[in-house]
Amino acid sequence: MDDLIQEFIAETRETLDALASELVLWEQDPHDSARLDSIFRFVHTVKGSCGFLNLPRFERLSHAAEDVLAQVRDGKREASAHLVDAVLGIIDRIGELIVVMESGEALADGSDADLIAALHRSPTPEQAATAQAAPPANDTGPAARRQAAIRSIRVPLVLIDHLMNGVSDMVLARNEVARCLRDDQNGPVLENAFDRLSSCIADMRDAIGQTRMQRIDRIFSPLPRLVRDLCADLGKQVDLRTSGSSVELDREMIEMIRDPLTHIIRNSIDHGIETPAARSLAGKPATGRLSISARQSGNQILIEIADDGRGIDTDKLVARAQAAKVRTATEIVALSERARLELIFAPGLSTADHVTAISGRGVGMDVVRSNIERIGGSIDLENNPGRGLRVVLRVPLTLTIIPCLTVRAGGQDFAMPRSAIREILFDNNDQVRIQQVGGRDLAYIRGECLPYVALETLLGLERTANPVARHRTVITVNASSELRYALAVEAVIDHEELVVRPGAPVIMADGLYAGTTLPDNGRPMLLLDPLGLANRAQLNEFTRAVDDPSSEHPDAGEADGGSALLFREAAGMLRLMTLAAVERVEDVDAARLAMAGGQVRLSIDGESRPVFGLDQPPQTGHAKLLHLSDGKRHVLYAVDDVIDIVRLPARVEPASEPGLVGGIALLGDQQIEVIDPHWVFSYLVGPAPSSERPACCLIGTDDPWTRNILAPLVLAAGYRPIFGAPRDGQQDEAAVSIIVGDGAETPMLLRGEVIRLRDNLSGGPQDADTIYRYDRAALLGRLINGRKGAQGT
Amino acid sequence: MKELYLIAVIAGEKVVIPAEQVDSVVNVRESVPVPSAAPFIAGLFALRSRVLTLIDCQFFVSGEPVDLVPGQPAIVVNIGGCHYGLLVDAVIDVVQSNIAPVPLPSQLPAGWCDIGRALLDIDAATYLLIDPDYMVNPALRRAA
Repeated sequence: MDDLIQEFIAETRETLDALASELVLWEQDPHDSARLDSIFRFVHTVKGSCGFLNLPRFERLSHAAEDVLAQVRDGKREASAHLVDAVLGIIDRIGELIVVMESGEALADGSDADLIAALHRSPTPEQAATAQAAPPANDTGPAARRQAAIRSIRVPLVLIDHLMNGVSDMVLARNEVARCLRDDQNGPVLENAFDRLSSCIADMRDAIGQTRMQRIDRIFSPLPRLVRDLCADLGKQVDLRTSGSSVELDREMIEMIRDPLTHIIRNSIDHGIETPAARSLAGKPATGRLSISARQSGNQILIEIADDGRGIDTDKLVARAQAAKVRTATEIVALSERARLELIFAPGLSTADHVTAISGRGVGMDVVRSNIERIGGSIDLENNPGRGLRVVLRVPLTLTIIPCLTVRAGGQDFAMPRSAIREILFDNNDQVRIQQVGGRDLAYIRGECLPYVALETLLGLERTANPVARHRTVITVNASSELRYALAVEAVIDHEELVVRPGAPVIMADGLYAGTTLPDNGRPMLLLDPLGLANRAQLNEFTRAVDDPSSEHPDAGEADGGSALLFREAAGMLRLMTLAAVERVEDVDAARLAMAGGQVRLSIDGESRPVFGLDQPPQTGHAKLLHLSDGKRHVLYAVDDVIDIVRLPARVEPASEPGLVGGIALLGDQQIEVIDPHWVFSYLVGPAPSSERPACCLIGTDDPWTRNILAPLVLAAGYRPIFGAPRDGQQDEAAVSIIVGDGAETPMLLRGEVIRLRDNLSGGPQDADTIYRYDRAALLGRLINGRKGAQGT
Repeated sequence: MKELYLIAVIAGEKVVIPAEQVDSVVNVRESVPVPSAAPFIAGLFALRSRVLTLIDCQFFVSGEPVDLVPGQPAIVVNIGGCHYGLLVDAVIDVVQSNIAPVPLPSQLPAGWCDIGRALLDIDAATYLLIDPDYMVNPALRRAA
């Protein structure tokens, strides 16, 4: 907090200095509206900063001055000489207080009532004189205290840049010297000296880096407090989330975006997010959401402030604009929706019904815009009336130190901002499954489905024929809050902090690269832009699917129908299938399909699986099959072609009768049947795969009859035949045991059903419990009973 | 008024470039390719602590990307705040001339007429005066 106050002091002093001449000019001509505006902005900024720094005295002063100035601006009050004096009195007092603070002493909780009262007094000369005569009560001797202040000087940026370049050159020179030293054998004295020099240079490089760079965390960290205080004042509940606080930014930029950011947050909480009562009426959770994120994109830093409040009421804005005569009626009619929204940036305009201490005077947004544009940035609004407002600030990236991951692809090294990287895995990891679905590679990582691209493919590089690393590395990338993908590279090399500079326009134009950097090895390296890569891979369609506006609400998960595969049936109609049920799509050779047991079946992975949707196996060519899986069982669904992956609407109209078609979904205005995978499974899946079946021990003679005749019957009845008596530890497994042959002994410890088969039709009475080996009905009956028993346990 | 010009060789032909646009001439030891960038970008190379973009001048004329020979000279220019190295076959000399350049004849082949700005007579020889602004970002002129 202390450094924030130091900055507030420095900034206010600076503005005061700059304002001094304006003040004089305004004094001479109180009707000069341009001067009035700049003074107004000054007090507004002071008010903003000190509310946030908890400096109530400043806040009272500036709020009072702002009130009066706003009245003058609106034409409600005349800018009389008396009023000018009173405002100047306040500005002087602010200046004096700043000096006190600068000396490091606590501010006395003095009263400024005299000055504030002066603002509201009617202009009688003597009162004005008293107001002016009132000495600054408790702020004496400012000049003497100035000595104690933290000393700082202002240095031109060019000089710092020059220094930075010098230090970078030094680092490279050191590296070269280091190489020379390694080659020649030198005494430890030289090496020690060199090490000392090295560490000096490293220190210096850090220091010089810090003179320019700062983490954006610096402006993010005080935000929770600000939000909390605002909420307490306004009786609102807001859940603040920040992300990307490790993004580093030019110090200059940090200073320039602090105020705009504060303004936007104030506006969001004051005007955007409704009171808990109003929110419940609108069907939103009582606690509003405010998310602030920073990320680097291309050669810009994007700071996004999104709330789920009521958004901007453009009609109201337009009405205000008309009333305030910012635009004429005819001009307004001609405005596009976008231009209507942009009216929020017009000076002196606000949609707030009441002016509060927090915001609502309409100074915010025009100041915000002018501040951002002054540093070459831009501001964009995305308004969803009733649902929220998203403000995106774009700030140019002049030079930054970015924590990077260096990766290798196609024999070349690239840097990737670490902030965008979520996870790094090898592609042989059990958690990773990569396969093609609908002509697109997908990576399933712990159940999450991500589009998958290889960096070499994106950059048009050849894959290294014999890479050093045996396995490729998969990096999951958060390109933006809605867009994630998996990127495969040859290897991940290192984590490094790299000084990144913008590249030449011809290189940056591609969008693939965010800048260039020079690591210690002296070989230039390109910094990849995760979002640019995603655009190159045309992953935007994936984004759109996820970027459903409803997904901004926390409960959107249930409302959303999930992803679905859109495909064409062999008969020609389009149908949908939940993507979760589709494991992969495969083109299979017709030779692998055969008619068997009344079904078309596919021989795959040593198993025969039923295929749905084919009456006859095709004679030649290929069949496109969807592999459906419920986790254990697999069936195949024949399709003509796979078309797309779409987002299912939240509401799927159920079909009137259970069957293949489970429901009807509306995509755009097309009605498309949605397949019920459960029905497909229940229709096709006969016996469970062998490992799932209860075991059946075939004990006794291990002869061809047992193996070739009895075992298939047991299998058909839904058992997994095991030959021989159960060994220790396996006993629990066998649900049924069949003892074959008259001479076979009955092993001890048999669980479940025991069936004894006898060789001959005729048997003695002692064999009542035995079944003749060809008494199919009796044997099957016992086996089925046994299965029921097995399921019951 | 006398102007200084740098004579360099591109695709076997001598050309001149105004010396005031030239920052320095360096020898490029190695460059790092920029995948999927425009074909006239030969790569990136480091000059002290700066990263420069290496422009393949020959590509504009012959359409063939150059194979960098270690130590090949590049003319460093600063255009729009960015530094570029124009990769040439050789740098020959700096000459003075007070003769005004004459406009390009119309029958030059496309590549040469794109990179050329004018013709210049120096010491009884005629040289093509090349335009570094075009070479570092051809899209700009096309847009204009």
